[in-house]
Amino acid sequence: MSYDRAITVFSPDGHLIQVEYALEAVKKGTTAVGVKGKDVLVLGVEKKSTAKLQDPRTVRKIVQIDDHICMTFAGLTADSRILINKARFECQSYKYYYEDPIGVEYITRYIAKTQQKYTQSVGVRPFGVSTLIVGYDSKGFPKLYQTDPSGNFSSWKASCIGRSEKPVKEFLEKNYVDEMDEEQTVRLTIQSLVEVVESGEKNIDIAIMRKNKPIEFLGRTRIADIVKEFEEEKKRKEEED
Amino acid sequence: MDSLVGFVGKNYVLIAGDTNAGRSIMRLKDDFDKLVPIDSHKILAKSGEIGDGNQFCNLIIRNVSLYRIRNETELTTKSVAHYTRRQLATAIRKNPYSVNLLLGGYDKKDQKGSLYYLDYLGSSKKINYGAQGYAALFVGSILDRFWKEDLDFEDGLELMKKCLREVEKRLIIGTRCFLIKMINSDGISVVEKVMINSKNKNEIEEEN
Repeated sequence: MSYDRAITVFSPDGHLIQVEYALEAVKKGTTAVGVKGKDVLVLGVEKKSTAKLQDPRTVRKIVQIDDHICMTFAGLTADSRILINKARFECQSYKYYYEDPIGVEYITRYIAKTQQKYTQSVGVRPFGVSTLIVGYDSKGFPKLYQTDPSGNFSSWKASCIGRSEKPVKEFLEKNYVDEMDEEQTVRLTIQSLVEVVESGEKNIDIAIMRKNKPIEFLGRTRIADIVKEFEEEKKRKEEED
Repeated sequence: MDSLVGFVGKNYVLIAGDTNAGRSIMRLKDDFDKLVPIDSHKILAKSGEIGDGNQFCNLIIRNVSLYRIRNETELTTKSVAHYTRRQLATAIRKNPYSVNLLLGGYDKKDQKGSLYYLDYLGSSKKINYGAQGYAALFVGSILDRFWKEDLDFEDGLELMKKCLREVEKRLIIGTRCFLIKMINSDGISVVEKVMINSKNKNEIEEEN
C-alpha cells in the first residue's frame, strides 16, 4: 500500500509521504550555510564540482531577491529557479503597492506559503528545495530565515541545509557565539564548510550581506587565505597533542 | 500646462521640468518633482494627468527593477524607451495613460547620453533635444537655432536657462519655478532649482 502517488493523500500514520520524499531530495543537494553575526549576515555554499568543459560562473547558488535581500537553497536547482522568480516578482510587486521595500519575514512567509500551496494542490508535487533567506528587518537587525518543502519556516541564528546538514549543524551548535563581528562570522562560515566540502576551498562560495550595502562575494584569494590559516592552526594543535 | 525640456550634451543629458502641479485653475503644489529616476542613470520626465503619471511611472520603475534583479544587469536607455512605448501603445486602445514623457538616460557601455520623446498615443522617437507641453511651442525654435552636438556642461546649462526664460516670459500660465536635473556617468544629480522672473530684465535667481 503506497500513499505516494497522489500527494494530496495522507498516509495511515499521518505523514505526507511526498513532502518527506521532497526533504530527501533536499538532503541530496549541495550544502548551504547561513550565519548571523551582530550586524552582518554571511551565506556560504558548497558549489557542485563543475565538469571540465563547463563554465563555473554560470552555476550560481547565492542569488539576490531584492536590493536588500539574498537567498540560497539546497535541493533541486530547477525547482529553486521557480521559487526565486516568484520571490523576485513579489518583492517588486510589494514595492509597487506600498512604496516600501519588502520585509525579510514577509518574503519568507510568501516563499513558505508558495511551498505549502504545492503540498495541497492537485496534480503538482512539492518543491524539492529548502531555502535560506537573509536580510535586515525594518528595525535594522540582521535576520536569517529557513524554509523547507513542507512550507515551514523559522528564524535562525545559524543554520545549514543540504548534504552535510548534520555535521555542519553540530559544528555550528558547538562553535556559534552571539554578537560575532564580521570577521568572526565569515571565519565560522568558512570553517563549517571546509570540513565537509569535497576538494576544499575552490568549491566554496561566500557572500556577505551588510546593512544598507549591496551583497559582496568574497574573493577566491581571501577564502583561500582563511582556509590556509585554519589548516595551519589545525596542524599546530596536532603537533601540540 | 506642464513644461518639460531636455537635450543631450557631451556625455550628459539635461532635463528640466516645471515644479507646478495643478488642476483646472488651481495650483495644488509648487514644488512638484516631475523628473522621476527609473534607475541610477535614467530619468522619466512626466507630464499630463498627475494620477496617470504616478501609476505609469511606478509601473515602469518596478518592471525595470525586476529586470535588473532577475538578470543582474541594467537595461539600456533604448530598451527602456521601447518597453515604455510598448506599455503606452497597448494601453491606448484599452485604458489609456494620459502621460507624455521625456526619457533621458546615460549608458555606461556606450558612454553616451540619449533622450527619447514618448507620448500617450504610443509614439517614441530618439531625439537630441525636445520638449513636452506648451513649452515645446516656444523652446523648439531656440533649440533648433542654438543646440549643437557635444555642448559642454556650462554651455548646456546656459542654453537650458535660455529656454526656460522664454517659457516663463511667454506662457500665460505662471510657471516660474523649474527643476533642472543632469544625468551623466556618475548618475542623476539635481543641477539647480531656478526661479525665473523675466521682469527683472532676464535675471535669474537661484533657489537653494
